[in-house]
Amino acid sequence: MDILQEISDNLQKGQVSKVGILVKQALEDKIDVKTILGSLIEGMGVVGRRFRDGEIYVPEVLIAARAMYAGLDLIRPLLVQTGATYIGKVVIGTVKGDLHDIGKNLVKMMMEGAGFEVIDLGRDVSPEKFVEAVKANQPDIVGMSALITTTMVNMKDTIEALKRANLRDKVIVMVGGAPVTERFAAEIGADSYAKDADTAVAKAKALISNKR
Amino acid sequence: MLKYYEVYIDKNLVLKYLGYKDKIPPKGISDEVGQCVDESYEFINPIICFDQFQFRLDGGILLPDGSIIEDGHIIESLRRANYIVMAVLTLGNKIDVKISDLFDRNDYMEGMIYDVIGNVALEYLGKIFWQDLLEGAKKQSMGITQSLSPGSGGWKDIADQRMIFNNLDTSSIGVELTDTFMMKPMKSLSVIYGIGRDVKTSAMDHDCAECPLVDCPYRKEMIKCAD
Repeated sequence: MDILQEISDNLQKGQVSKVGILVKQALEDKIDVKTILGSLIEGMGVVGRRFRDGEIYVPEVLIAARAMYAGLDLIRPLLVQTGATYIGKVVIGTVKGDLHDIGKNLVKMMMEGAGFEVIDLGRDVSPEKFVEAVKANQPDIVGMSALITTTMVNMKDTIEALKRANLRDKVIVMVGGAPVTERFAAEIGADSYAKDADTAVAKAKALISNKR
Repeated sequence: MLKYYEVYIDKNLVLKYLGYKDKIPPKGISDEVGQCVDESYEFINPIICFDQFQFRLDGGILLPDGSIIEDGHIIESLRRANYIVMAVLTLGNKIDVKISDLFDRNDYMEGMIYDVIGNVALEYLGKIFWQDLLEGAKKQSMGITQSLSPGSGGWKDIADQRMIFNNLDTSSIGVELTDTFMMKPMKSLSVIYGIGRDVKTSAMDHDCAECPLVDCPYRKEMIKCAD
């Protein structure tokens, strides 16, 4: 079997050590690092589809993610060295005042699995910190998460801060989290709302594609 | 007052909350959850800060410090009570640190398992504390309401947590309320119970049927009130 297909298949089964060994082998075989990344993305894509179709549950996705990182961690430095491009760059964080970050972490993981470069600002992120990160990293997308009603209002403050810094038109703003709705996203001037990590990836891909 | 408890973490409940309600989990996942459950006890330090308070019905539930609970659902739940118990329950900070460390290391699987373990442990702590209060109430020929938490179930305003924190010295258990009404440590819970001769005791400490979060992964079957 083709080694790239083996990487994808073993990732789907959550075979952490096998994915690591196969990625090392692929690198020794001088396979282009971007092609290896493609096999990891392909594997996570299958996992995402199976999850969407209800064939597998969240833990099986997370086991696959563990295998994905076993490969990704090996090639990430080489991706930087070779200047190989990701499909897009995302700055992500949980908004000011909110300490919940599991939803945001899952979006980060699925985004990385889909081939995005993700800069994670963590939780309790102020509008100013989002603005600084946009200036420093020039992302395609800013992703914001909030889990409670008292903090989701800070998404609007962040969008306003981006406007004041003349950065709003340069980025796509995506929002999500338990109390957030499509309507709320529109009201605060976000470009997109995603109800879960899988949808966030699909929408991010579509938005990036439209932007370019 | 402070009370210390030991909690029991049901592995099957952890698996259920991870999504395996109707499907048997793969063995590898079941084993990993079991191992995490076994190891999790060292990260969990359950403690409860609580006290009982008299109140008056005067434009709402008027507390001794002058604050008033105005939520209609809560007024209805507490109006027959002779007194209320306010409590803050916590598992301590160690499990928060453990969960953050796991996610920081990109170990999403164990991070998620420990997060669910924390929720199961907190749920168990709430249940055994309620049962203790129930036993005390029975001795006084009284009943007890289910647990009532601001921002949860029928109690809409999460900001009402401030009333609980204003009436309890939670610094003794290391729990603080942020400006956005989140508790630190995260695996903490603020609750009120009504106790009285005319209070009907609920069958459990928490009735998911009263909660509007119909998609909540922790939702349980509807239960009946015990007369």
